[in-house]
Amino acid sequence: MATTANYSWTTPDDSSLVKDGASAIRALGTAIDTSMNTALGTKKAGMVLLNTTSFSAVASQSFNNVFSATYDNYRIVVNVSGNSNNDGDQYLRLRSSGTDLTASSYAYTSWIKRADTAADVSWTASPSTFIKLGAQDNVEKQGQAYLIDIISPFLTQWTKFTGTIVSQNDTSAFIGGSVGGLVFVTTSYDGFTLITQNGTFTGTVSVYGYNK
Amino acid sequence: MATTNKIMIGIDDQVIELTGADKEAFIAQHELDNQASALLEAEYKAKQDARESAIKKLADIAGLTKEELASIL
Repeated sequence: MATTANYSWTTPDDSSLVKDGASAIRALGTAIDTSMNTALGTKKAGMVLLNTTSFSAVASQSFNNVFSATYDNYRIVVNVSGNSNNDGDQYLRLRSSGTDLTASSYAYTSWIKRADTAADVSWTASPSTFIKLGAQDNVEKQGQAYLIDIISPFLTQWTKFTGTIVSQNDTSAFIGGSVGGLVFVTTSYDGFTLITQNGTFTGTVSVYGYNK
Repeated sequence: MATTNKIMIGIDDQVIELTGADKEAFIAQHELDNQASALLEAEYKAKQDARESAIKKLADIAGLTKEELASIL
């Protein structure tokens, strides 16, 4: 009997009889089931890609209906590949039924290391009408990237954010840091918006759900 | 952001040009956002300037260069 390369599951030979097909499929299915159960038990894939959107030369980019009851927590991967202007940090807002939350319901703090200064940057904004994702001042046109975990946006709880950021300033000095934030209202949100500080921006955003 | 400029926004996979009241509302909100952001940055710069000044004064007293003193703070 032939076997598969990785798990040695038995498969019919080319010369096997058709009348034995049902038995062969059953044996293969059982072998796969056993291997999967050994590897994963009843566990599911940890993260599920929900949405990838590319955008170009826009002042803001909104994402509707990416948060739902299926997942409680999400990761968004933001690759800003270019800005039309310097000082192109991004602001993040939550969104519900197509409308951004613009009230002073956000609070955030950032810790940022700039390679061009001895002093690290840290600041806190509470309350705020957005969460500022970027580093401080003069982000160069090449863009920046963010990894942001959004905790419980769809639940009727406060939404929490933790994230890491990387970019460059005008003199091409490296900037890295982290941001933590809250939305201290218990509204359920189904999306979010990224707004660039100046001009327009171009990039790609992927949204993943953390399986429960 | 000049009002004569086109303002394009993305919503999911669509790109929309804002016009009229929507455009004015976007501009007004954006100006508020940038003012808040600028305030934070100004506070940071003021703290950084104060720190630089303090390091310089301490370095003079300690007989160190500013860089030597900053390296241990």
